[in-house]
Order: sequence, then C-alpha cells, then structure tokens
Amino acid sequence: MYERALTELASKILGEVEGIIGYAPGSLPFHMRPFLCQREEDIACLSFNHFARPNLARYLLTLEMRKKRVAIVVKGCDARTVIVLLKEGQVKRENLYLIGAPCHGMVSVSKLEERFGVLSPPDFVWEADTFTWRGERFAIRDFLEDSCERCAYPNPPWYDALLGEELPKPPVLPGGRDYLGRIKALPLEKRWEFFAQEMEKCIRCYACRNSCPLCYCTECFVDQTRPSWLSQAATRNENLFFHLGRSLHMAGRCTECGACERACPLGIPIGLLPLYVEELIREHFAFEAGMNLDTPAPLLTYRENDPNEFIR
Amino acid sequence: MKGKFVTHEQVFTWMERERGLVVITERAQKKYHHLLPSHLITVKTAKELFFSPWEAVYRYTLQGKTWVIEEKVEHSSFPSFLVLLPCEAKAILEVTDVNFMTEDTPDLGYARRRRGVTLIIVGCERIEQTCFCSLVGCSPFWRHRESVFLFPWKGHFYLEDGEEKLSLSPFEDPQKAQAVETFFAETICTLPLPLPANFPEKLYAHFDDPLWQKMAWHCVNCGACTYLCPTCYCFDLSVDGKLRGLTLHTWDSCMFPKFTLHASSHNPRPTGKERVRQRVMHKFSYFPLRNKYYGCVGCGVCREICPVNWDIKEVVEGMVRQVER
Ligand code: SF4
Ligand code: SF4
Ligand code: SF4
Ligand code: SF4
Ligand code: SF4
Repeated sequence: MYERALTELASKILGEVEGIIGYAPGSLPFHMRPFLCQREEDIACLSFNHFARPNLARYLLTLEMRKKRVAIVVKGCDARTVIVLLKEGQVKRENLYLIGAPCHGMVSVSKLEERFGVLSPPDFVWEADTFTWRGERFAIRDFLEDSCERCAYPNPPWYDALLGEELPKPPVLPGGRDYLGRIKALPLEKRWEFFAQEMEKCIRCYACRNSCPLCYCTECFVDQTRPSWLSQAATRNENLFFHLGRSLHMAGRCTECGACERACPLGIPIGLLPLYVEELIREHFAFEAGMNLDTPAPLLTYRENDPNEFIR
Repeated sequence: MKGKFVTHEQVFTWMERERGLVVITERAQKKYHHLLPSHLITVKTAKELFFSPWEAVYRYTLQGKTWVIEEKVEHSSFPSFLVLLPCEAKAILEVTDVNFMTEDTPDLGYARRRRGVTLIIVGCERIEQTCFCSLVGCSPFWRHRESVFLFPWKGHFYLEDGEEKLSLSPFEDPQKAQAVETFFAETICTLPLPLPANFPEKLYAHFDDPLWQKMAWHCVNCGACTYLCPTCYCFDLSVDGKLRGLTLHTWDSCMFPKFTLHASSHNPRPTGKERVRQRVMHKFSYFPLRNKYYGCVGCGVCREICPVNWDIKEVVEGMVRQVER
C-alpha cells in the first residue's frame, strides 16, 4: 500500500530531513517494523500495509531523534499522538515533517489465528478493505485490532503530505462490535468481575506504560520511592491502582492508538481504562486529544478566570 | 537410553488422576490440547512456578526499639509434576537452576519450590515459525536424564522414564523405539546449525561494536520479552512499609532505565543501546562464558510477543556475521 507515493515523497524530502521514520517489512510474516530511513538506498525498504501497527510517535522521544529534523509516517491515531507531543512541548514543529497515511485499520494476528489456525502467508491476498484466504473473501473490518475496531479518525487530522486520498469517515459501529461498549453494557458486578480477573493476570511488567508514546515521564509514579505510592507486589489491587493511576495521567491525552494493549504480553485489554476516561473527557469537555494544535487541553490548562471556583 | 511406549489413554488418565499435582505450561497446553486433559492448572511461563513474579522474603516489625524480622515461608501445597516443552525445560535445568541453586548461596525460596518437582518434557512434533532452538544447543527432542520425556508417535506416546516417576507400566517395542531414535537423529540433521563454538568469546570482544546502536534502534525497551522469557531471572528487592512491612522480591528487567540507576543518579546504561546490548550479551556471552550453556534456549517467545518485531534471532545472526568478518 502507498509504496509508490512513499518512495517518490521520500526521494524528494530526504536531505531536507535527516531521516524518515517509517515502516519496513519485519522478520516475521504479518509484521511490519519501525524503520529509520537515512540513505538513498534505504528508500526502497519503506512500505505500509495492514500490519504497520506500531505507533511511531514513540521514536520521536529518543535523545537521538529529538535533535534531528525528521519526517515520520503517521496513521490517524499516530498523527494525533504527535499533536499531543507538540502541544506538550516534547517535540518541535520545525523539526517535524508529517507523512500522513490514511489507514484502513490494522489487522490482528491473533484474530487471524483464531479463524484460520496456523497461518501461512501465501494463503492470503491483501487488498485495502478485503482479503482472500485460499480464494475465499473476507472483510478486513472483522479482523481488526481492538483499537482499530472503534477508530473514528483513520485520516491524520494534520500532515505535511498525504499518501493516497483521505478515506471516508468510518460508519458508526453497530452496538456489538465496539469493545468498550460491550463492557459498559455489562451490569456493575459483572464489570468488576471482568476487571478483577484481568488485574489478577497482570504481572506488572509495565510493557503497556513503556510502549505508550505519551507515558514519557523520566520517573513514573510507580517507580518513585519517596514517597512510594504503591507496593511492587503484583497483587490485584496494586495492579488496579497502577492502571487507574496511569489512566488518569492519560486523561485528555490518550489518542486511543492501542499501543499499550498490543504490547501486553498477557493479552490484557488494558486500553479499556484510558478509553473510558477519554469518553468522559468527550462528554464533559467536548474535547478529543490531538485533533488540532489550538484547542487547549482540558486538564493541562490553567486560567486565572476559570468559571469553577475550586480551581482558582 | 531406549524408550518404551504408552497409549494416549494411559497418559491422559494418569494426568486426570494426578490432576491436583500436575501443572502444565500454556505453550505445552496449546500444542497438545488434543492429547492431554484440558483442565490442568496452567502457567504462562515455567519459571514463575519457582521464581515467583513477586514474593515476600521477610516480614519486619519495629517492636519498641528492636526490629523483629521473620522469614516468610509459604506452606501452600505445591505441584509434583510440571509438563512443558523441551526449550522450557532446558531453561529451568540449565539456566534458572544454575543461577538460583548454587552451592554456596542458593535462593532458598526457589530451591524449596523447585525440589520435588519432576519435569515432564513433551517433545515438539511441529517446529513453530519463531523457534530457533537448534542454534543454541536445544532441539525439539531435547531430553534430560532427571526428567521424563514424552513424544507422540503413531497413536502412542514414546516414553523415557528411567526412574519410573510416572508409574505408567509402559510396554517395550525395541524396533519402534529404534525408529523414533532414527527419526530424531534425522530431523536434527535438517535443522539450522548451532552458533559457532567460540561465539560467546568473540561476541564479548565486540562490546563496543557500532552495530549495537543500529540494532537497538527500534526496541522500545518495553520489557515484555524479558518478563516472558523462560530464562530471564533478574529480580529486585524492595521494602513495603515503614515500621512494619515486607521485603519483596519481584521480577525486574535490564530493559528498564531504573535497573542500573545508581543512588548518585548516574546511570551506566543510559540509553536503549546499552540495555539491548546487555540483554543479548548476557544471554549469548556472559552466561555461557561462566556456565557453559547459552542463556537463551531459542524458544522464540520474545520474537512472537515483541510489539515492534525486534528479533533476537536476527540480531544474533547479524552479530555472528559481524564477529566472523
Ligand atoms: S503512568 Fe503516569 S507517571 Fe507513569 S509514565 Fe505514564 S504518565 Fe508518567
Ligand atoms: S503490559 Fe499487561 S501484564 Fe504488563 S503491566 Fe501492562 S497490563 Fe500488566
Ligand atoms: S525487544 Fe521488543 S519486547 Fe523486548 S523490550 Fe524491546 S520492544 Fe519490548
Ligand atoms: S528466544 Fe527469547 S524468550 Fe526464548 S529464551 Fe531466547 S531470549 Fe528468551
Ligand atoms: S537478559 Fe536482562 S533481564 Fe534477562 S537475565 Fe539477563 S540481565 Fe536479567
């Protein structure tokens, strides 16, 4: 997907930028990997498809990248993440060139495995919205990553160049497929049961936090020792405390890219918590993170004339 | 050792009967769910049974002016048998046991839990796309004299259980046993060759190779690989509570900046490059130089779960080429 547009653009801008953070085919089928294109001969490696899952905004935060002027390939959610990073002063506008990639959604390997068993790449032929498996046709939307299933913004809200054409806004999903909706539909005790069970599984490896492009604190609250906010023991309650804490730090910032839950080695749908918080933010502040550079972020903005007394 | 044979039923019934005493790893369960009982207690990794993700080592209280310290010993019942894949068994026997059950300073909790557990290794009929066990001295049929070995063979299980730990009354069939041995030997010949014999020494000399920077680039240091790796055994000690509380022993990972953060705030592994290098070096150089076995068993779990497709096999093969240049 977009290979032609990508190589043409890359040849044009390489030189103007010191590197292009994009995707290249991975070492395993159904995987793309982050790739730093710095030389002419790297350009041919750049590609994009349904497996370009990683949110590349994470890479803008490494020391090496912060000093450079780079181009970065962004899907809808990734572009929103970059906007949040810009707003929070983590990256500089003049150091960035955004290559927007309208996104048809990322395909989940585990969902493919669930349906087709052991996967063999030659069985599949991929197109934008459908694929065939041994000649039989399937809709991509039935195999999307959870975060892509409910994605409302496949097009980057902001970019310097766009690969291909903007996609139509995805239809509002019918009740059952939206996985946050599924959990919210459960009665309270069932919901608690669900989270209690998931929290029981968590081993506190922090892969969710560490792969989140917006969890960039030099010292996370869970690592602090003076005071120490929570015990290092991975018990259900301490785990829940960590995840609730993290969700609150994400409030009005999370762009629903799903990096946290794709990183979780235990398959805990941990994105549900920040997702729910974002829903509350939408409800109370009519705000969505990373949609533009100008709207002030609700929980990061202080005004002396704030109508609410408690905050003044 | 020549093996014997048992029927699928015999193994199935035995496991059913000993249910409370048998634990199976998730990977073995996934592979052999059609032959083994489905409701056995499962664990994500084999190591977590002996090396807990977290455990309290001491309980302490300040009473008057003295600290009262008690060792915390759990008394819960523990399994007697652990069913697992060859690579998972090698990780226990030749890595975590070697690290934790040293003669001078054994880890008491680990040793207590580990003693008395018999490993039942089930060989691999199918080699997964992510497996590379043959590179690091393991194989789909890797066996160990103190453990039981099972392999599905033409409607039966091939069984090696010299000490009769399973009391299964197997039957003998020397001809068939020979066929199994031949199959193992022939299959092993078709697998990728082991890493060069002196790779650990050579890699050691490449500590400052600029290639590390390039290879480490796209790892986000999330740590998932080390937590699920069957051989990673790093842990942290922390105290939980001021005047009374617990000393906790929890999993840790060299992927984290805090892992090497000094009290002075100096960090000898400040960036991803040093941390990724440590992970590879520890498994492929430091550990084998000290203990003769690789610190990686080639199970491929990390390759499978890495969210950004950072691939240890690819990196090690790249380093092999680099050191041979
Ligand atoms: S969880 Fe909170 S404190 Fe920790 S890294 Fe994320 S934003 Fe920072
Ligand atoms: S990645 Fe998964 S297991 Fe690890 S801390 Fe996050 S939720 Fe827990
Ligand atoms: S190799 Fe992959 S799983 Fe391991 S720390 Fe790096 S990004 Fe995470
Ligand atoms: S393949 Fe990966 S998970 Fe398996 S032992 Fe080696 S480093 Fe650990
Ligand atoms: S690779 Fe890292 S986490 Fe794993 S045992 Fe070695 S130093 Fe520890």
